[in-house]
Amino acid sequence: MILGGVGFAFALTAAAKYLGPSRPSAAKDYPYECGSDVIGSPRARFEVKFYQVAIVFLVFDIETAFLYPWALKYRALSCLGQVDLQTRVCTGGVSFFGLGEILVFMGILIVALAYVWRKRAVGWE
Amino acid sequence: MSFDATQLFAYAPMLILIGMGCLILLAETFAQGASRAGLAWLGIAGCVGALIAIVAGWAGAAEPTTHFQGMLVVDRMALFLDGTFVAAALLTLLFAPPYLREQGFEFGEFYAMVLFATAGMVMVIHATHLVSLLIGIETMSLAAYVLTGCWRRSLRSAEGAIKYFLMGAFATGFLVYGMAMVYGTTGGELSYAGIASKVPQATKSPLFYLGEYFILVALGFKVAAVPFHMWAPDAYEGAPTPVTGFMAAGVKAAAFGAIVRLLGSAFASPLLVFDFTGWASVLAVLAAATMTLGNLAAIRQDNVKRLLAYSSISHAGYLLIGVVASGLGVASAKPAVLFYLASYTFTTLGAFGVVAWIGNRSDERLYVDDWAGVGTARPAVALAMTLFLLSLGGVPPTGGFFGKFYLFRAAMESPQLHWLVVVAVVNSMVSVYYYLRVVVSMYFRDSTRALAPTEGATMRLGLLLTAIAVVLLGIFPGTVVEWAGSIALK
Amino acid sequence: MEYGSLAFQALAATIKIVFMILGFLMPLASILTWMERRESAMMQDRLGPNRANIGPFKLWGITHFMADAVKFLFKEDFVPPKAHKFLFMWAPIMAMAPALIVAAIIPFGPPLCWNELLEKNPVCGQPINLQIAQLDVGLLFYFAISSLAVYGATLAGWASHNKWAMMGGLRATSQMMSYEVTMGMAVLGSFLVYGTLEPGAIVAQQTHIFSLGHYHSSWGIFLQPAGFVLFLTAAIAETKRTPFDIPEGEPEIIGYFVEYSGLRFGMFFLGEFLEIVVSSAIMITLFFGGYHWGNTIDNALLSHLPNFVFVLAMFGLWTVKVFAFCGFQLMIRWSLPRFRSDQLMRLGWQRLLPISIANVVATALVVLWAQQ
Repeated sequence: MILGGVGFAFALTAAAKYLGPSRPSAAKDYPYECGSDVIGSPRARFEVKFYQVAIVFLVFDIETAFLYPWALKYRALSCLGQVDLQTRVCTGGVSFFGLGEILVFMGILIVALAYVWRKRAVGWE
Repeated sequence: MSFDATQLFAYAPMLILIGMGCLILLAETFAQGASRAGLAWLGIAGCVGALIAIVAGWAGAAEPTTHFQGMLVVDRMALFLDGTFVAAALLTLLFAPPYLREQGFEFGEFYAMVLFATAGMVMVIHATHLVSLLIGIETMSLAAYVLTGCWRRSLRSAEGAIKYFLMGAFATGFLVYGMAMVYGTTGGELSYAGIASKVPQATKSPLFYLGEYFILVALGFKVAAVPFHMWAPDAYEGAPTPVTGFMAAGVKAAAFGAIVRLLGSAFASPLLVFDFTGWASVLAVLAAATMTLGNLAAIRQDNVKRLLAYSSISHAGYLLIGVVASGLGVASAKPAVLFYLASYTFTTLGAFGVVAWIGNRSDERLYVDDWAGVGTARPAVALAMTLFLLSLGGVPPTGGFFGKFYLFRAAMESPQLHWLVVVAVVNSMVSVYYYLRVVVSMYFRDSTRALAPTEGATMRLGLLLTAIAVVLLGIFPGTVVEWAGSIALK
Repeated sequence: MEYGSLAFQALAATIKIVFMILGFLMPLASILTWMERRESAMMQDRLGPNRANIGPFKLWGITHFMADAVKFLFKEDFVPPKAHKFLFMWAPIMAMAPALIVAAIIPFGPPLCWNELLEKNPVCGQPINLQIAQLDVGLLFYFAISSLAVYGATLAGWASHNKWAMMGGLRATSQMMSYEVTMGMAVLGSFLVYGTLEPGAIVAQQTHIFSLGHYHSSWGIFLQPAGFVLFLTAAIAETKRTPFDIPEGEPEIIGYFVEYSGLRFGMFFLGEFLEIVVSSAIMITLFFGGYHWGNTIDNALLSHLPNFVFVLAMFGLWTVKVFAFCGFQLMIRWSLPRFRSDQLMRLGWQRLLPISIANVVATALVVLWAQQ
C-alpha cells in the first residue's frame, strides 16, 4: 500500500511533467505576489511562535504515543486477577495501578500545559 | 500489579523535588508580576524537604533494596550522594536570587530547573538499569542546558549553552548507541545485574566492548574528562556563575556516581577490568591526562571563572584515580571517591559563590587582577575564598586535603597505581600555584577600583554555610567518610 | 491457486490495493470535488456546475470531475526558477500519498468466504479480510502516516521560494501539529473501551447499534460521544478546510501551493478530498460500527443472501456511510465562517486538548467501574 500510494502519486507527478506543454516566459518566472514587485527574500526570519508550537507539539504528541500502549493494557493493569475476554469482567480485586500511573504521568503534562497556556505559547494574540 | 507505598516513600526525595519544581513553574506563571523572591524560597523549602526525606530514609537503606523491577535501587551510597546533590541545589538557590536580580533575569523557571536537574541527578545515582540511567542523565542535562543558556542578555551564555547542548546531545547519542550494543550482545539485558551475569558470553563479541566504551565515553563527556572536556571551559564560563558552581559540583558528582555504580556492578567482571581491553588501564591513562591537561591549562588562565573551570577538569582526573583503584579491588577507594565528591561539591560551590558575589551588573570582575584589594575591603569573603582555594589545592586543614588524602591512600594500596599517585601529587602542587595567584591578588595587591559586589543576605548565608562545611569536612573527615564507607564495604 | 499460498495472498493484496486506490478513493475524492461545488451552489441558491456531459449523458454535471482531471493533466507544469526543484517535486507527493497509504488499515467489508461464496450464512473456512493490512499497531499507523502530510505543506511552502507560500506553509504546519495532538487524544477513549488498536477488531466488536447488556459491542458514538466530536473537529482541521482554512486563506495568501500549477496543484487539491474520505472512513470505523448496521439488519442479510452478495451489500452500505460523512464535512465547510488564527490556536490547545484529556480520564474511570 505504501508502494501503491507513493507510486500512484509519483505517477501523477510524472504525468504532469510530460503531458503538459512548456512555454516558459519571464513573467511566469516572477514569484507570485499579486503582481506587485517583490521586496526581500522569502527566506526571511519568521516569528518564534511557530517554533514554540512545534516544541509543545512534540511534548504532547509523544505523550499521546505513550498513552496508546497504556490504553491497550488498561484493563489488565486495573485488575488483580484475570479479565474475561468475552464479558470484560474482572475476576479478582481492583487495582489502581493503571489509573494511578497515568494520573501521575498526565499530571506532569497537565502542569506543562498549564505552563505553556499561561505563558501564551499556544494562545496567539 | 500494584502500587506500594514503601516504594513511593523510598523515592520521596526525588518526588519532592519534582513536585516542588512543578509547583514553582505554576506559581511563576499564575503569579505574574508578583515578586519572584518567594519562588526561590519555595525551591529552598523543597530542598529542605528532600534533605529531611533523605535523612529519614537513611536508617532503612543499610541494605540495598531494588524497586520497579530492578530499575532503581536505594542504598547508602545513593543516599549519601543524594544528600550532596540536594545540598548543592540548596546552596545554588541561596546564591542565585541576588545574582539573578542584579543581572536582571530572575525567572521562576530558573529555580524549577535547578530542582529538576537535581531530581535527574538523584535518578542517575539510584539507577541500576541503563534505561533509568538514560532518563536520569537526560533530565539532569536538559535542565542544565537551559540553566546555562538562561542568561539571555549574554552572548557568552548562549554560546556556552549551545556548545554544551550539542556536545551533550552527542554524548547521549554515544550512550544510547552503547546501550544498544550492550543490549544486543548480552542477549537483551539492560539492568546492571543482568549485564554482569551475561559478561562471559557477551565478551565473545567485540561489539560488547565497543558498547561498554561508548557508555563510558558518554559519561566521560558528563564529567568533562580529557579528551571529552572541550565543552567545559566555554560552558562554565558562559553560564550564570551560580549555575557554573551547580554544574561543576552536581552534574559532575552525579556522573561520577553513575560511573562508580556502573563499573562496580555491570562492568565489574575481571574480564572487563584488566588486560589490554580492560577499562582500568584506559581510565588510568585518562586520569593522568585529565589532571595534567586541566592543570596546565588552568595555569595560563587570567579569568577566574575559566581558571576554576579548568581546575574542575583536573579534579575529574583525581576522581578517576579513585574509580580505577576501586576497579582494581581496593575497598577503601569507593568511600574515598564519595568523600572527595562531597568535599569538592561544597568547595566548588563556595568558590563560584564568591565569583558570583564579587561582580555586579556593569562590572563582572572576572579577572585575577580585578580581585586586587578584596582582602582589605572585605576580609571575611577573602578569607572564605582563600579557604575554598586552599581546599581545591588540597592544603590542610580543609575538606579538600582529606579528599585527596583518602583518595591517594586508597590508590597507594594498589601497586599498579603508584605512578598515577606520583603524577597526581605533582599535579596538586602545580595547582596550588594558580590557586595562590588569586589569593595573592586578593591580599597583596592594591585595589584598582572600588568594590561593588552583589549583596544579598542569602548569598552571605550560602558563603557562610559552604565555608563551615569545608572546615567541618577538614576537622571531622572520619565521620563523613564513615557515612560514605558504610556502603562501600559491601 | 491455493488459498493461503504466497501467490494467492499477493494477488489478493494487489487486487485490494488497486481496488481501494483506483476503484474507491480516487473516484470518490474526484466526485467530491464536483459535489462540493454543487452542494455549495445549492446552499447558496445557485446552479453550480451542471453542464458537462458525455454525449447525451449529463448526470447533473457529475462528469465535471473528469473534465477537471483532463484539464489538469494537460496544463503547463510550471516550476519557479528559484524553487528547490527536488523538494518542490516531492511536496505534492507527500501531501497526497499519506492519505492513500492510511486507507490500507480501513476495513471496508466483512470477510469474504473464499470457498463458500454462494452459501448463505456460511462457516468461513477460508476468509479473505476486506482490509488491506491487518496491523496490530492499527491506528498508530494511521497517525504515523497521516502526520507525514505535514511535510507536504511545509515543504511546498518552503520549496516554492515565495512569501505567500512560506506563510501558508508555516500556518499549515502549526495548525496541523496543534490538531494532531487532540486527534490522537480523542481516540484514546475508544482504545480504552475496545482494548485494541486494530481497526478490524474494533469494527468486529461493534455488532449492535446500541446495547446496554454488551456495552462494548455498541457503536463508538454511544460510548465515546465526546471523543467523536473531538475527532471530527480535529479531522476537519487537519484537512485545512473552512472553518480551519487559515493556511490556505483563499481571500488572502492562497497558501503553500500558490506556485503550483497543473496536476501538481491538482494533487494538493485532491489530497484534501482524499483526506476527507479517509477521515470519514476512520470515523465510521471507530464511532459508527464500520460496515455494521446493527445486529438485526446484519443477521437478516447474512442469512438470506449468498456470501459474496452479502459482502457486496455490506460494502455498499459502508460506502453509503462514508458518502454521508463526506457530505456532512462538505456541509460544515459551507456553513461555518472561518476562524482567526488566534481563535484557531485557542480552540485547539485551550479547549479541545483539555476536553480530550478529561475525556480520557473519565473513560478510564468508567471502564474501571464497569469492569467490576
